[in-house]
Amino acid sequence: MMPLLGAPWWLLSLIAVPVLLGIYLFQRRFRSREVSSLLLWEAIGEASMGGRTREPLRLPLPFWLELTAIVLIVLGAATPLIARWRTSRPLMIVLDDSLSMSAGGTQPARERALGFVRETAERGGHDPIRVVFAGVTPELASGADLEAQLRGWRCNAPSADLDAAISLVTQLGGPNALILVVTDHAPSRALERGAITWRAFGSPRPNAAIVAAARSGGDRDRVLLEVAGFGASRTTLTVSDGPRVLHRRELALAPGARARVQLELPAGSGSATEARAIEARLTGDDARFDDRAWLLPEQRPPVRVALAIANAGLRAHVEGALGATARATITEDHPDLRITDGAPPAEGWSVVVDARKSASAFVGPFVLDRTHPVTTGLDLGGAIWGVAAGSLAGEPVILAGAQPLLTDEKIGEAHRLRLRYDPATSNVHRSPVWPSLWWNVLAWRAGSAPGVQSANVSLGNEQRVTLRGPSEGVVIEAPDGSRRTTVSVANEVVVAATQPGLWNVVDGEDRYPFAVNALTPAESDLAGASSGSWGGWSDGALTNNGYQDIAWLLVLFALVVLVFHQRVTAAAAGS
Amino acid sequence: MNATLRAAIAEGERAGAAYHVVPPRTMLAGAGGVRTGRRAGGSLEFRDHRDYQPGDDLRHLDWNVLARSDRLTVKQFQEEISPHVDLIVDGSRSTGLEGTRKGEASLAIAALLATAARNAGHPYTFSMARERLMPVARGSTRATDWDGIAFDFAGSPAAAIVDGARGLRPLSLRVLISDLLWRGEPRAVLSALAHGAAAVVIVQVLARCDVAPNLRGGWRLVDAESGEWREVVFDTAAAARYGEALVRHRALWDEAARHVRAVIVRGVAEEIEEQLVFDELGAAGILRAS
Repeated sequence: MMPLLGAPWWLLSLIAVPVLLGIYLFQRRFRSREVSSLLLWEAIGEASMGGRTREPLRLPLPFWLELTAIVLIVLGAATPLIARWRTSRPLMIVLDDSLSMSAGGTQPARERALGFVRETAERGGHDPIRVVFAGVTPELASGADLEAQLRGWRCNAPSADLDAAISLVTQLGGPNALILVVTDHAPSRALERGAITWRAFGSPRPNAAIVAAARSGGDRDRVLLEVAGFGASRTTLTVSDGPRVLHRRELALAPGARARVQLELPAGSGSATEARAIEARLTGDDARFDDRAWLLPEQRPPVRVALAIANAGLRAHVEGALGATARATITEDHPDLRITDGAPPAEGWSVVVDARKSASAFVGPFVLDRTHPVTTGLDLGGAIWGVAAGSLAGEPVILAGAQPLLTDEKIGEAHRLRLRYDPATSNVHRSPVWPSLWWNVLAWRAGSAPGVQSANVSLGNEQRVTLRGPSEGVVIEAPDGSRRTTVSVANEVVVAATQPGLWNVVDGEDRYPFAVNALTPAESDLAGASSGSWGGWSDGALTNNGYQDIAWLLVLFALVVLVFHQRVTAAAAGS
Repeated sequence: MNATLRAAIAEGERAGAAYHVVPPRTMLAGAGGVRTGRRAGGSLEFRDHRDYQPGDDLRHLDWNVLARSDRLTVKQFQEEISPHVDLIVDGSRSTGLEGTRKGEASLAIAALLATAARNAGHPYTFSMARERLMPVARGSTRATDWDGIAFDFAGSPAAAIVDGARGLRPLSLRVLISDLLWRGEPRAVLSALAHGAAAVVIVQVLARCDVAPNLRGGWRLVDAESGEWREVVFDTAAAARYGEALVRHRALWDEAARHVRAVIVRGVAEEIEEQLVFDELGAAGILRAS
């Protein structure tokens, strides 16, 4: 490979060459002198032959040595860069792992991109080559060689955070890395030539997609489906439970239109082998990932809550919040959770509310333990929280400065939440934070019972499965038939919903099925897909990264030449 | 002929007044053998006896031998020839090279030798070696009477010497005054010059710049005779090579001179003095103080 120059403007210094030549020629502007005879002068090498014959200019050895030294020094100053020996620059490949990459019928973007990636890798001679899948979060591919890494490219992510993936590969590859981004759409902003080459292999096309799917449980088994038309499209929606078609409907969708389908399933609907799963299917477009949805009935028994709250106002606020969640049943019969403003229960799950009049009201800043399930989704901005001063037993969950507002105390297998809240001087109970807080409390309590957190989850989310007890042989069965075994932590197994379909978590005799659906309107909308190339690897990036500076070598050669020059001139002077 | 040359001649004549030329005692190699003079010379020297042959001069009968042995024997005498001096001065441009005193020095030496020859009673002839050997006007009289001398011949005098040597007086003392800086085999010139000569003396007169050029840097050197030029960068190394070439050139002439028993004396034009010339020629047995 031809060397590149990192600072080519230094080549202007080669002006020294004609200057040197001029000096020598000036020295060689011979003064004329008449001599008796040229006989004795023939012993001296002639500087240039006289006469009319044109001969090449002959210059003394010191001139050529000085010329060589100048050229070497100038080239050295120009920062010559040559490709590194053996190790060419690393190539970091960011592969869009989102669902839309699988769109395209017989020639999906993924397949076309694969050929390009392989060709780029072979042509560049890069080493190493690392692949990062850009999904919801970037994921480094495993595998020793490129093909092994590419095998993990399944395009099942509900979205692709390419920026995060690029950040990751920049950190992984370091300054020597070239970055190749492979996706199906143009970059969101202009991309200059540099270290990133952005290649897209998508193509805009109409698509009908299931963008929402839900199924209730309980006495009335109802299904809600929403089909969106991205571009004018006609499709047929079929709802079935195994071989039995429960519903079929022709849909003609205008661009941007959505069609909702509500069904009330007959009792006992659902495949017997798949935990009463039903399947919704669309026909007739090139993006298949959004043409199917699986739904299981939600089987979440309400949390039995015993209320023992003397403060009438507080009780009303709590009852309102519990009712809004629709996940609680107020009962004194074998309650799963006790809520009281009196003495704490001796055992079992409980929430103890201290509603004494507040000594002060806090407007923040509030400190939340975000790792605690009760704080999920809570935003206390604008909240006024009045409390009576004093400490609370248990681990702080929510604090206002040094004042604990909510604490968690573990008692055996149960938890006791202590809430200090004065409704008279607070406004939290009039904000969305209040029902959210109680939803989290109920979900946390419900989650402690065996079963899945939700029967239907969206692709890319996590499914939390609570087991009956600790287990070291929990089998997770994915829709593609793969199985893996894991161990429970705190009676729980967390499964990443990485592919759409029906999943099973098996713990001995217990089976915990759940459905994962790719309900991703952004991925289904293929109008913005495109093909092309953006950015590109600039010469500067190439020279700065994949090459090594050999200026020192040239300067060393120049020194050797100058030493030789000194010896030549010294020998000539001494002879 | 300019005043400078005339002054040099006058100076040579003045210096030569104190010397006289010594005739050579031996014949040169290549001179063609011993030659008995047939003309009347200054004296007749007895050499040998031989039997009388008809036609012999009866005045040379040795009457004593006839009386003792009754044989007719004649005395044989060798003619004692008064030596002739042929002075040849290189008339090429290099002798009159501008900035040097080679021309003046050559004429001064010639005048000295001419005067010394006249002092010894030897006739002389003064010629300039140009395209041919050209006798100088009044070149057998007093040196100061010489005329028509110019160093403007654009060529080598070697051919003129070789050709002109045939016309020189037999058994003459032949003196060539030149810088000898021309291409060619010296032996050819010296052999021609020595053929039939009693002695050959070569006086090499070089300028100081011929012996040690005082140059530095690049020079275009123009041959004074041919007009050819050559560009050289003259530095210490070049000076050394030049000196080596001069030594080789001298050695070449020395070897040729030894071959024909010629005598070479050398001098630097700008440094020649009367005593120096006398020392050199005296050491060679050519000159002797009167």
